[in-house]
Amino acid sequence: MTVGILVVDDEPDVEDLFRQRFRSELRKGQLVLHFAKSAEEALALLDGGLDPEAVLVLSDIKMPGMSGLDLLQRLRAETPGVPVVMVTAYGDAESRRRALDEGALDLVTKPVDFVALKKVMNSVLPHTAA
Amino acid sequence: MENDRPDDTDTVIESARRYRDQVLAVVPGLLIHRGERVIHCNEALARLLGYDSPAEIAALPDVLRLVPDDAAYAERQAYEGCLAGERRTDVRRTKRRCADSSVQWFDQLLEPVEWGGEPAVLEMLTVVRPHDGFTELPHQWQRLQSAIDAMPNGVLMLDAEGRMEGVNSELLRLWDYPPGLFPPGTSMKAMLCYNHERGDYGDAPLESKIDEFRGLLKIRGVVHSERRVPSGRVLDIRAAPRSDGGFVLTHFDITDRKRIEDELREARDQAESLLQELRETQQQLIVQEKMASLGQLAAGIAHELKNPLNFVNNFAELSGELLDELTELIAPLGDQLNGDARADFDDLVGNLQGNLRKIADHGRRADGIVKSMLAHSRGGGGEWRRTDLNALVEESLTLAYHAARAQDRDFNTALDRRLDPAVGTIDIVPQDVSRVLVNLFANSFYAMRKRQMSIPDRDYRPTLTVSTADCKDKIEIRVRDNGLGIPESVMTKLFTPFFTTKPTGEGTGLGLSLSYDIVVHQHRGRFDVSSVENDYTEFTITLPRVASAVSLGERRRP
Repeated sequence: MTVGILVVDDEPDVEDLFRQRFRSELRKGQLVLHFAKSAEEALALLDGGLDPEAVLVLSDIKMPGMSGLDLLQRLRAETPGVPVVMVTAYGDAESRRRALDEGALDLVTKPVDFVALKKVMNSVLPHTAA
Repeated sequence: MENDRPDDTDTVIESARRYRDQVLAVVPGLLIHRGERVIHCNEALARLLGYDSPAEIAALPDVLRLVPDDAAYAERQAYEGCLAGERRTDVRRTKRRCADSSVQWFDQLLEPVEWGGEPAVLEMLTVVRPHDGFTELPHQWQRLQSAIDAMPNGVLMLDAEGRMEGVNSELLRLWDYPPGLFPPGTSMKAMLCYNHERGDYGDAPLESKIDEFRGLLKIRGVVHSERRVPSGRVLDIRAAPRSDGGFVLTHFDITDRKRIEDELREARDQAESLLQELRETQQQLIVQEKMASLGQLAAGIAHELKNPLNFVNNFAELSGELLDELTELIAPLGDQLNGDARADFDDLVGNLQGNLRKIADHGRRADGIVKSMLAHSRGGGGEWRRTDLNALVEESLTLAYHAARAQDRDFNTALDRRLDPAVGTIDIVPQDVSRVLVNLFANSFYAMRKRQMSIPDRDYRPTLTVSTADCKDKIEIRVRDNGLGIPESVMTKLFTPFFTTKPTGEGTGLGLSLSYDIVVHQHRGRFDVSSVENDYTEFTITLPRVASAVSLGERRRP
């Protein structure tokens, strides 16, 4: 089974980074990564329907325009079934508390520890477990 | 006429008696005495004083029985002077106590005489007569007296011989002299002597005071001198010479002026010290502001660098992985390469892997710096908590010492802990304060190690002293080492972010600037340093016991 993950970040290189990091999963066809450069674009993508459907959203917090936390709020309201993991440069208690209060599944800090991220993803996506 | 005889006789006797009375009335009273003893007294004196006979006076145990108490002092002085041979030409006006205890004024002449081969005092007393000259004189004197009494200043008039001619009531008040104590004619010496006996001059000998007074009058012209009298008042005394050789001494009470002057001086001193304090505070604020803005700048830069750096590190790591995969993938192809090409291939792959490792290493280093810089804008973590400070100091010291020993097995230092139990607990962010302390200890260890290595001196014993002290609403932590010390040129840049004396790669130059930030900005404390090169360095941290509202509310957001 192939699962989709939507990654929201204004940094274009994030796409390369994720693609390379998850290259084996992508190669095996277990995973499809969708990318959005802003929260607005993410909402549009989700609205338009993704193939395969995103079962997890990873979102940066600080982005131009709509912030990651705003996106989180919208998603909690619109697609409560899709867990959201926040990615941020600031791993302080305050940001963590806010993200979790808003309904994020977890908060991972940059630089992204992909081992930790994979663990989180595996906990949500049992089918992708290698 | 014969019948008139007896009458005539009576008349004669009566007129003779009247004559005698009249004669006796004008004959001055004479008294010769030595010390207390009355040697001779004439009938006139006995009559003048209301005694029945001279014998009654001669029988008095002390000649001063004739003198009212308030005049006794001046009188004794006058007698002593006369007995010592002092001759005076003028008439003293003085009072005497009569047999019926009434007081009568007399004009007195004192003359030193010889009686039985020894000096004695001849005293001549005449009743103050209301004849023209006398009635006019006291009247003028009274007018003069009331005029000087009306003056706000103390007035004392001295004749050319240094005898007091008159004083006004203000002078008596200023000097606390009972009225009548010193009748006109009292010598200045007697008055000074009285002051001396009263204790006005403390331990100073009377002679020196008399000399001083004489010296004052030797100067022809208005002389100012200032003195404090027993009542605690401060007098400004002016001596103005008179044409006849006498003096008029005016006494101005300047106690109030002095007090105001003192108060003004005190107020000025206070204002000056306040100004000084203000200047210091201002200086501190400027430094604080500078540090704060530099810290903010550092944090700002760090934020900007953090993301690109993440990519560098991530891609460096990824490239390493990819290279490994690539070499694995083309391994079978490698067998087809000849010897030289194979060696080149391995060499290239080795270099690439080495470079990627280097990129990752340096990236991690840069990441460390960025993290320290970010700490300047403390986004958090630390909680304000009531903390046992001595325990925190102890814990930080152990931590820092182990870290230092882990880096350098040969390093040893004496640790001198002087922790004041009175310090107790205070409101701080323990994590941050611990960080400051560990940083200070690490610096000390470094400085001592460097000194140890720079001079192979057998006698050098590295010693770190850490002490805490309770200062009521504040506490103080001192960290002192006998390491290299801090040169003057470095002192001013000590808390500047990125300033370091360590070789590249060993220090970020953020330790002290961060510590400063934590102590001064976060905890509203003070951070002081003193040092002498090749002798010691001492850092003093002062923290308020209770966190101020500002510190609690203050969390600089990134």
